[in-house]
Amino acid sequence: MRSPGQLKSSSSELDLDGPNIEDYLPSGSSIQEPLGKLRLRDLLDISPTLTEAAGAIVDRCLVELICSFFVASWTGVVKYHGPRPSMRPKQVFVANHTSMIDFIILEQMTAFAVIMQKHPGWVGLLQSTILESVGCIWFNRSEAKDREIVARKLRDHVQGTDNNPLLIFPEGTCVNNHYTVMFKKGAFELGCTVCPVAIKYNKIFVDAFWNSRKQSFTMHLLQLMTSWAVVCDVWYLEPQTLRPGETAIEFAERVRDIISVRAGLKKVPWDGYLKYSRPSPKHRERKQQSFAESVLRRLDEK
Amino acid sequence: MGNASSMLTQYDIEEVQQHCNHAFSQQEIVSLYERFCQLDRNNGGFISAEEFLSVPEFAVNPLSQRLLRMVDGLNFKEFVAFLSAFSPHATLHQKIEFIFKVYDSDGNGKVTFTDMLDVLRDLTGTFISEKQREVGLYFQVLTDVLDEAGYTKDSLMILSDFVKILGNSGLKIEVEVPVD
Repeated sequence: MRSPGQLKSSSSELDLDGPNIEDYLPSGSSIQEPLGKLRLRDLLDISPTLTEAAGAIVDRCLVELICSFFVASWTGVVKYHGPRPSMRPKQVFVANHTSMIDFIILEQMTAFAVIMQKHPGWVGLLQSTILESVGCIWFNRSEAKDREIVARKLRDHVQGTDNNPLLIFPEGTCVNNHYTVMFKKGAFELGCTVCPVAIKYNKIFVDAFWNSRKQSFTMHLLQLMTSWAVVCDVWYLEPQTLRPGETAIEFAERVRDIISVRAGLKKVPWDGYLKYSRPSPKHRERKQQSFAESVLRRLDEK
Repeated sequence: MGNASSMLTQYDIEEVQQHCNHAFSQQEIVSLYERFCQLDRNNGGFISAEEFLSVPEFAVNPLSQRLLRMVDGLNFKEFVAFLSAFSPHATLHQKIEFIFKVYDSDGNGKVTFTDMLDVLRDLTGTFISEKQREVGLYFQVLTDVLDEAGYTKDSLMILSDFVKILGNSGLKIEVEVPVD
């Protein structure tokens, strides 16, 4: 039943170690800067800004909860890259998070312990049975006291030599596989080496999964499995430590950058829960500043 | 997330399509409805300003306040009509008219020098206007380009003026509605 010609991953044969960025990045609008003398029509033409605003209204939500099935064998469908760091104490792994199967994919190579929010319903049941065996730290995000308990548990776990290496998803929630949202700093304050792991799903798999309502996830998954498509790429990246003078947040952003670049994901300057909060004014100021500069630049061309 | 299209009947879809002059296909309208429901968190039947501002990319947009005035409290049919200027099927005239409406904040069909200066300020923020010299600079720039185009700062622009000015430019206002 092997048909290697079908559904090839979008990475070219020559570049086995990196994704084909063009395929993965969403087609963004690049605001074309016009040249020459400034005219009335240039000042009145606010179409790029309007397009961005409308695009924001129309594009679907970045963050969605998706569930997954546990699949027995993923061999041949996940490509691992890079030397996996040797297991040491005081070391944590961080990865970007797209779906529940991220953990399963990484688990294939290494027995991890994971910190995860316990999902309700049957997904929670699945988590309990499968993940508890590898040593999982559960927490309930809405419990404020829980945070302290979790922080303590994390610290204890990484100090211990016999425990499975800890895998943390610092985005805190599943994110559409085109972007990364801001990493929560918890993983970066443990006084450990951080080993970044980048996970990038094959575009066909991601798009079909995120957009499709015609096919159930199981059917879709089965189809992909039997066609021997590469479902995703996993890159183990160079372990990082906190630099002198660097804060935990800066460290987190630095690692997010490393992961985003490797997997061809766009970084956005807000966190996964921004549904309930507003981005700070400085994001808008940055846009305003660049617009102002471009107008001033063109004035000089008079 | 549930099957939103089951709440939208074929009749509804056709009605909305009529109302927006077939700017969007039926599948796009279903998609927009899902998005509308996603934004309308409290199920009020319209998207409030708060709910729009919860979309980060919208909130950071310099023109968000102006757009909010146009879009706040619209029901789904009106929402789609509002977005129709962004459809690839929209005519250049429709797009220019949309831009005109953004400038004409009091909706009296006339755009003044102050309106244009205000939009320029929105786009550039406080980055420059704090400095007295630069405030004068934008005033001067606008006066100069208006003069060059045959207007004065007391001119009251109407839609046909905008059509004349923007008519030949490569105006591009388009969004793609993601369809399953």
